[in-house]
Amino acid sequence: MVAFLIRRILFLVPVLLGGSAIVFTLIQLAPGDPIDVLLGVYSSPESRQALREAYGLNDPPYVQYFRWLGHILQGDWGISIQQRVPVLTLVMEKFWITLLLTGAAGSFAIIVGVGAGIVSAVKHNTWIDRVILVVSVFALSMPSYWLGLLFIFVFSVQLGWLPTGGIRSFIEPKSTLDVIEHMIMPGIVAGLTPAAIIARVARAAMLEVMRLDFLTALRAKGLSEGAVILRHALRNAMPSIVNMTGLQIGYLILGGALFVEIIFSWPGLGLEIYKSVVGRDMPMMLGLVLFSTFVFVILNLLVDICYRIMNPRIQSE
Amino acid sequence: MAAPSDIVSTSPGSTQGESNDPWRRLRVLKNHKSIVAGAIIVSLVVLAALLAPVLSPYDPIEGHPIDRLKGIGTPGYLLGADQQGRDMLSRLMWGARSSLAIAVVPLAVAGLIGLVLGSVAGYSGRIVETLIMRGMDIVFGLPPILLAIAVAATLGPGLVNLMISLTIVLIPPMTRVTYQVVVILKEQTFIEAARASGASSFQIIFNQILPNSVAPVIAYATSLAGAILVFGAGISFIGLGIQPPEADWGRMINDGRSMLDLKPHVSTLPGLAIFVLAAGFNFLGDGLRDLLDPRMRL
Amino acid sequence: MRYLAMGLTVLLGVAAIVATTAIAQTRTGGTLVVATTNDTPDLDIQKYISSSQHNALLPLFNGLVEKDWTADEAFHPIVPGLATSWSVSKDGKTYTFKLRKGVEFHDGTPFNAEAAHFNFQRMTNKKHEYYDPQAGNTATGVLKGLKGSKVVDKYTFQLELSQPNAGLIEAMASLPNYYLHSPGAFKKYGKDGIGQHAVGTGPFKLVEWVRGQRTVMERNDKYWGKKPSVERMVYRPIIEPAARAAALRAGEVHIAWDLPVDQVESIKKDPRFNVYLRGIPATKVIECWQASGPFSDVRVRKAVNMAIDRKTLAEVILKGTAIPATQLYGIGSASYDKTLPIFEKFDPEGAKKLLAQTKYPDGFNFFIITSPENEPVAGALLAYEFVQANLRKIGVKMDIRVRDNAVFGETYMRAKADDECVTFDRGYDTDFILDMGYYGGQCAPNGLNNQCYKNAKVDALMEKAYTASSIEQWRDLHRQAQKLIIDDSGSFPLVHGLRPMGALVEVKNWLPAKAWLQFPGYARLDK
Repeated sequence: MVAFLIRRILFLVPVLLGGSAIVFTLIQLAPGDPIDVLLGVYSSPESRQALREAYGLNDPPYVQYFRWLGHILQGDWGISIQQRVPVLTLVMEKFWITLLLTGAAGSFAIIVGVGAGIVSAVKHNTWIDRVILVVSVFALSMPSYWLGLLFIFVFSVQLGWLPTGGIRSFIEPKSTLDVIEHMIMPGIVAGLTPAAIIARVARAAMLEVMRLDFLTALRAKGLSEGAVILRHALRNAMPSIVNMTGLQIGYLILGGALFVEIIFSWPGLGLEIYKSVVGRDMPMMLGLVLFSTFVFVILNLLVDICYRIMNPRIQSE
Repeated sequence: MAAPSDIVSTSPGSTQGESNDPWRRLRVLKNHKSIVAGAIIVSLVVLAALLAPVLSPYDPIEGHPIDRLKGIGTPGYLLGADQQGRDMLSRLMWGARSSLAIAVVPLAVAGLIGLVLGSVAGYSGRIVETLIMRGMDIVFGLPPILLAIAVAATLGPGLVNLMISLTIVLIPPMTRVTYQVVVILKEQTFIEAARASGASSFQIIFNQILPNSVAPVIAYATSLAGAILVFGAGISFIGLGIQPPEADWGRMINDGRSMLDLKPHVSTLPGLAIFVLAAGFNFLGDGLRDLLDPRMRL
Repeated sequence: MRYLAMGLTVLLGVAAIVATTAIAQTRTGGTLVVATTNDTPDLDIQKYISSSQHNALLPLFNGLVEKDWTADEAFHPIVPGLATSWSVSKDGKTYTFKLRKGVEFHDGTPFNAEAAHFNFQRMTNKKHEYYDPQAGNTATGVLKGLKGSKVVDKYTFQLELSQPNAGLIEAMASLPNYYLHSPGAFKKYGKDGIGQHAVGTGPFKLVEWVRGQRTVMERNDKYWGKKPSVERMVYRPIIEPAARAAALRAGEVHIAWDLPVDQVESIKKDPRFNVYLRGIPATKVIECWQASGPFSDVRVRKAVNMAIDRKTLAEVILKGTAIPATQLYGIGSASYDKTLPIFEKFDPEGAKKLLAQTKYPDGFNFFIITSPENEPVAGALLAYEFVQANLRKIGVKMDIRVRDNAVFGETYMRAKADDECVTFDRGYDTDFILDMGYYGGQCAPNGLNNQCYKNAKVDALMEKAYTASSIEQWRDLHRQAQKLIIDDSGSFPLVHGLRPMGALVEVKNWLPAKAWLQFPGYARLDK
């Protein structure tokens, strides 16, 4: 286990270096000469050259990369062009808001996904199983940005049950659970695809486990079917389910929630990425991507470790 | 996007064992309703896209301002008209082209690159393997959706740039899946036999490994096509992909967004189209996977 | 199961904590919630001329002179602000202001000539401790000849000019970048901190500003002028017009600015809402680089203008939320010339023939950079897509590139490529901005003439106008210049905007300004 941890953590170094190198390359490829921005197109070649020297833009790319990396490590992520505020400050502000949405969507995905997966496995090859499978394909195929629009139209504009977007009300809140109300629609829409994927994995894992003999033995011992399924089968299927759930939540925070945030004006990382893309605010956008890479990599590590702890079989490998 | 790990154990042996009698194969399809459903949906969309120049009643770009926002079933506009008075049916048919391109081209290109990289890595082992696979792990360690958006934003809007950005994020999973297939293949007896008969590594990769890994890789690619379509159209939806006046489903949803409650058809129809085509791909992908690997049947 | 339960508990716990803190911040009572179009990037009112920034900060600040944005008159009149009266010296180079007594900034700093002097030193005196080059460029760029300021006595203050400028009062009243910060705030928060703290004298005080989400303001009970009826006002920036309309329909906001074109009719019919269509001094226009490339040829410009079907655009595509453009000035601008016909007769065949005489008989490609959220005339993208289709018929291919307004500012100020155009809603709440865009001496990147339009006769008229004896004469000279620009096809004006604004019926005593700037702070909530 210790060896695994060390290996896994050491591997973070090349991944983070590689990831930041990709982001740095994108910065370089982005259209527009920074000098143009600073001096205007009609500036003299001499003054341009002088400024290039001053900013180190004539150094070889790898030198520039490590200098940039140095800034990143010291917390200097540049300034957002649109908002004139340090990128890192903004990113941290928005991260928690996205995490909140991810919490809502993740809870929905886990409850519905694991539930549907178990039911489907227990009722294997019945019509219930088939309906769940078909519905899961539909959920996988649903464009969240479209479903979100339909939800707003039906539940907010037509029925007036839920707020259209944002994170809280300004006119008197309809109930004390104001933020929860704002989380319901985005949470469900963002959680739908992960729910479908978790359901499919949970079903497969359960079916695999339910083929094993020890369950029959337990049943023979007189354990109720519910106990057999929930206490024994599910526990054995758990590692795969947790693994996939972790991955899905990673995808959710770092991208999956993007469209949902845009549709529901949820002021998190996704909406910020959208605004920086539309506004061609490259420092902001690449800062967001870099930050997401860090989070994604660490989350993957945590998922791996969980999987290890829960699945003693792998340890002996 | 689904992680590739959910179909890792694609076993290549299954295609080998089946009978070559074509009739039996067709009968097999009867047990795979999901393939049939998927294939029908996808072929219909392909047909609509191919025949758009012949069948579409109007030019997809030319607007008739006087007929703007006409509802479904208006004479002359079977599926209504959009905010510039352009025929929705024609735009949906033409839009099928870019949607199919978004879903298929990046997967095909990434699939080809992945096949080559994955086979080489899986077959040769050692340093080459480490270099390729660790390199892929690095790219795979980046959040794919954000990476694609960042690349698309850097390259600028347009169909080709959108396809490039999707291809880049698809190469690592395609390579990984090929690699996993090849590692299993390598131990099979017919490869041993080829090696014993004196074939070079190059010959083995191209004559034995590649042909035998194509099927599972295609199955995997198909299972991703739906997700790629939904995501790619989403990029157009936020304004980074295909630009007006070109017809594109993602873009069209956005066009109709401001009048969803009044003229729902403008935004609902293209959304439905994405949903149906993605479902088609997903059914097809599920079915192919079942066919190739009954153990993983869902 | 254990893991599942654990995970869920943690998630719900986090959600509950955030929910409680958020609710704790919400107060009820007379709170007016306004869905605005865009947030301000910072709280410094003096640095930029940007309607989103000015609108966000208007309730918090005052100027020496102001316009009454709540008056229901043909043009919003100039009214005394922090100055009660003003006069001009004979040579037109010195303006003397008598200041209002007994006014305090929100932080308790007294307002007097020293305070006004401090603010204008920040804009004009490069040696001043708090001089800001950006604020300086904006201030002196608009007010030609603004040189310095002087304290005469405690409540008398002077502005000094190097050349006469007949439009000074008009510009200072219309442009909030001449509004005043508390000098105390500069000393407390420093040069860089002022962008994060808005301390003015306005009818509202800032409670909280969460970037991109909300600006919460509280009534200033010590305000020197008319006091607002609502206790609090919240600005909630919602960029997407459709989302603004949805928020209004759902009753989440009392007022929504700039409704989407296709929603206006249905919201109007709904008894829960009032919709106002108010002409504003804004002309939707496409401006193309003319120093070189296709648009340097006047025949090309004419052909493009002839190919645009302005009547259909205004009446059918924009559903009457605009009227066909006749000129550069917008309705609601004091210089608007009612006698002019629709700009260039719609004649695609003629356009084709004209284009055939140029270097581009088969057409050419170009692109526009547009920032819809910064254009108050509704339906920007609808309009550009329609123009795109119009031009396609004469073989001219127009690409549409959408940019956010902050970066857009940068695009606007620089020299451009041959095939590069930008879109605007030209005009502002003063006629002052418009003419600069066509003055040959101010060719980008050295001025506001972003398309580098050059016409010596136009320049001569504008130079003459600076020394005009009155604002009426000034306007007259500019109207003459405008006629020359129209003959030249100096740009591609599309429509004049009527701004569609919506409110719940319980919002009383509110009429949107016929202007870019809006001040809904005097609205009353009827419950």
